[in-house]
Amino acid sequence: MSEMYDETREQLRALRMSYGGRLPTKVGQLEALLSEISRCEPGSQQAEFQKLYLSTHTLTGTSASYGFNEFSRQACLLENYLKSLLALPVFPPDEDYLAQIAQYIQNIKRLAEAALSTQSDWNF
Amino acid sequence: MPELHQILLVEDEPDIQIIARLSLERLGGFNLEICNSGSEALVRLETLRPDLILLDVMMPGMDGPTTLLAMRKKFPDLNLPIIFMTAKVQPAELTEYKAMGVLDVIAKPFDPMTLADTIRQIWSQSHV
Repeated sequence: MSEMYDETREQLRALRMSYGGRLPTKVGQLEALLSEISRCEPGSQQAEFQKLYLSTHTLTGTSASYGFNEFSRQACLLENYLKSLLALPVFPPDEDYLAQIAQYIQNIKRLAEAALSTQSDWNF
Repeated sequence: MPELHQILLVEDEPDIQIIARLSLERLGGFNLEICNSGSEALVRLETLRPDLILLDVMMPGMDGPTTLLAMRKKFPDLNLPIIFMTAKVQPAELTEYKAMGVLDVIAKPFDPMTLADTIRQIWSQSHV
């Protein structure tokens, strides 16, 4: 039984390495979505924003599931910001929201690039 | 108490599916079926009769609560024990989900080493 648990832990660590190695690509997908949004007319950005929000939500949750807690916390800031934009009665807002989103993405990009050198936040 | 053998996981994220499979099949000894979306689950349930459904709340297209309502509408005679899985567990949302008649709500991220035990515990408590 304990051997099975040890093997599973080992498999989980390997999966974590694999996921961590793909984090920069996943952040790159957010950048691509933001780039698409910036090319849309402000009045027709809502659907693209929804996509960006869902992708960020997935990244926040999955990265935490793989023990990248600091990355997840920073991604959650972006997720919350996007959620607040989507809840606005009038869209787009006056503020420079695209620059703000780009800044959040830059923050998580840095963490993504360093992800594999960070210690796992898994408690085993 | 009925035996818990087969679980249907409805989850759109492949990286979560992988951990869940490892956790529930290898450690938990369950037979796990996976659907990538609520609409896929509605089709799968035409032939599959899982003992329990693990339903992600936030999915693109049909979300978890919408999927639950659609399942009950399509299969009114089936007993479908459901556990929601979500990262959004604010107290108000928890109350809202439980009011939908689910067995429980499991918070994400879950611990892959203990997920199977957590589910067994919820299953036992719901059959007291």
